[in-house]
Amino acid sequence: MGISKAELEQLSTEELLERLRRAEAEGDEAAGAIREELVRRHIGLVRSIAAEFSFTGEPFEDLVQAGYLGLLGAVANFDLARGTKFSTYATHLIKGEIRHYVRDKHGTVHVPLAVRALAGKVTEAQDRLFQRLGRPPTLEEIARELGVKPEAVREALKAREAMIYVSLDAERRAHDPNPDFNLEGLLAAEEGDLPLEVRLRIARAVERLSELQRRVIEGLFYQGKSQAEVGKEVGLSQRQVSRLKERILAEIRKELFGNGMSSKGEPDVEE
Amino acid sequence: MGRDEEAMELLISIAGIMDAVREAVSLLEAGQRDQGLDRLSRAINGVQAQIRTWEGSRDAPLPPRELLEELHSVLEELTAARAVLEAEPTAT
Repeated sequence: MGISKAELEQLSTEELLERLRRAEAEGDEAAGAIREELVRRHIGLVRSIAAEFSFTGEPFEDLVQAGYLGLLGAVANFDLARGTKFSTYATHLIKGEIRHYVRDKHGTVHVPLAVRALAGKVTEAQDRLFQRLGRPPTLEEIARELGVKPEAVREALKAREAMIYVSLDAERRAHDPNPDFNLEGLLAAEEGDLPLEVRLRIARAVERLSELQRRVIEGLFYQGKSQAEVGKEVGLSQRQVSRLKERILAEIRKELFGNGMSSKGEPDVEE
Repeated sequence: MGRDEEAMELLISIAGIMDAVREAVSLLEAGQRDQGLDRLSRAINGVQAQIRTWEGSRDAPLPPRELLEELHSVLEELTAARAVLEAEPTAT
C-alpha cells in the first residue's frame, strides 16, 4: 500500500490504526511507517505523563523511556472494535509502564516524606469538608482549609493516587495473578465515567475485602502455612495451590448463589 | 456453627459483596446510574449485615476487633463513594 509521510500526517489516529491493522494482516511493510507516525503523534502524551511522575525523583528521560514502552504496547494491542479512545487506552498503558518502572526501581513509589504527610492531611481535610459542605470539596477549598497552595494539594493528590495504586497493584499481583476484578481498569477508568474520589474509595474497599478474604482463606485452608508450604506437602506449585483454592471458592459460591448470581467465572486449574 | 463454617460463611458473604461492587462499577461505568447505585447500596447492606453478624460473636474467623474495624472501614469507603455519586447526579 505505498503511502507517503505527508499522507499519513493527514489521517486521524483511528484511520491510522485501521490502516495499521490492515497492513499487519497483509504483511505490508507500510506498517512500520504507520507505527512511527502513531508514536510521533503521541510522544507528547508520554512526556506529559512522565512529568506527572517527576515527584519520584527518577530522571525524566528514564520515565519517558518507560512510558514509551507503554505507548508501543498500546499501538500494538489497541482494539478498534472496543470503542474506547486510543488516547485513553494509551494513557492507561503508559502510566502502567511508568509505575512498574518506578516500583521496580524502588520496591515502591518513592514519595517525599513532606508530600506523603500532606497527602494524609488532604485526605482528612477532604472528609472534614465533605461532612461540612455536603458535597466533594474543590481543590481550592482543600488548599484553603490546609493553608497551602492549590499546587501543593494537586501534588499530594497525585502522590496519594500513586501510593494507593502501587499498594493495590502489588497486593493484587501477589495474591491473584489473573484477577477478574480489574483494579487497574477501575483506577484508570475513562475520564468522566466515574469521579476519581469514587474510584479510589471503591478500590480501597475492594482492597480491604480482598485482604479479609486472604486472611480468612489462609486460616481456613492453610492453618498458618504458606501456599508454597502447602504445595510442597501435596506436590503442587504455589500457583497451582492458588488456582485450586480459587476453584474451590468458585464452587462454594456457585453452590450457594447459583449460576446467575456471580459474574465471576471459574478459573482454570493447572494440574 | 463451628469456626470453619463461620469462616466459610464470611468468605461467601464477602464474595457476594464483591460481586455487588463489581456489578455496581460496571453499571456506573456504563452510565446506568440508578442500577449502579442500587448495586452499591446492596453491597453496603451486605457489609452492614456482616457487622451485625460479627458484633459480639466469639467464633469470628478473625480476631473480632480487627474484623469489625476492617468491615467498618469498608462500609465507610462504600458509603462515601455512594455519597459522592449522589451529590453529583451528572457524574456518570
